[in-house]
Amino acid sequence: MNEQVKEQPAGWGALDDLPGNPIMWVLIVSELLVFGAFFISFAITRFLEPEMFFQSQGMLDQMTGGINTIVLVTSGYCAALATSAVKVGASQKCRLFLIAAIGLGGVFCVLKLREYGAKADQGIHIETNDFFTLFYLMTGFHFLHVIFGVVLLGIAAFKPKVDSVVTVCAFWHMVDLVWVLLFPLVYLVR
Amino acid sequence: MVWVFLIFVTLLSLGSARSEMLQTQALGVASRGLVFLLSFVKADLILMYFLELHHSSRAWRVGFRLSLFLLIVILYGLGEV
Repeated sequence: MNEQVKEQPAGWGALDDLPGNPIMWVLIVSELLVFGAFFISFAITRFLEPEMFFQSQGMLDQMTGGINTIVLVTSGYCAALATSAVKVGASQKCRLFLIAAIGLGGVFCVLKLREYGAKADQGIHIETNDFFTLFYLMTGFHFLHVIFGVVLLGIAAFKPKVDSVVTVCAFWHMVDLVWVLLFPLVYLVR
Repeated sequence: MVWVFLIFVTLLSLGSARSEMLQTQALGVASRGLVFLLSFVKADLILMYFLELHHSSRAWRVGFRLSLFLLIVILYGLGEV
């Protein structure tokens, strides 16, 4: 008796509710957990060494961090507009919004590199103290995500399709979301 | 509209942190609370409208909001202990 097992239709269950490819949401949630662990480590270390954190935080450029927040939020907005455009079949419009999002991602990278350069000129590096170890780890890890996100947006802009644009933009919004939480924690809250 | 609100709360956060430099204790606590509230609102707006979770099921919306809230409470709480 050779009973053939009928193939089940492919499905992701509850993950199908989410926009874009479900595997991207697996990545997004796992990345958020990693950043969450970073945030909690940062908060605990701040609790243990408040004075050192207070002094070190004073050496950061809040204005550059604020400008970077505005740049990244605007880039996220362009990505959201690109998603809306591709859904109504406006591929050219979608491509332009994606290019704008990429450009703003590039601005973020330039500002971040300038910030790192300024810190290096002041003799501040990853081993200066615990604050700057965590600062470089968290912002550096996020910076790598921005670069990866820009590459993904570039791939999506090359040939805009609904699924690829929605999926890539979901990753880009995750990068945006992490910065929105990272910025007040590292730069603002004393 | 969402973008305008995001930019507005970013500027408000910056202004709040700058006023904290006055080092008044009461203002410091209020300022920290405001910065975290604003970061929660911003993160929620990105989740719901940029990531389009407002189209998703109630369970996902509640799950993400709760996780975000817990993370922010932990971060805020550790600073206040």
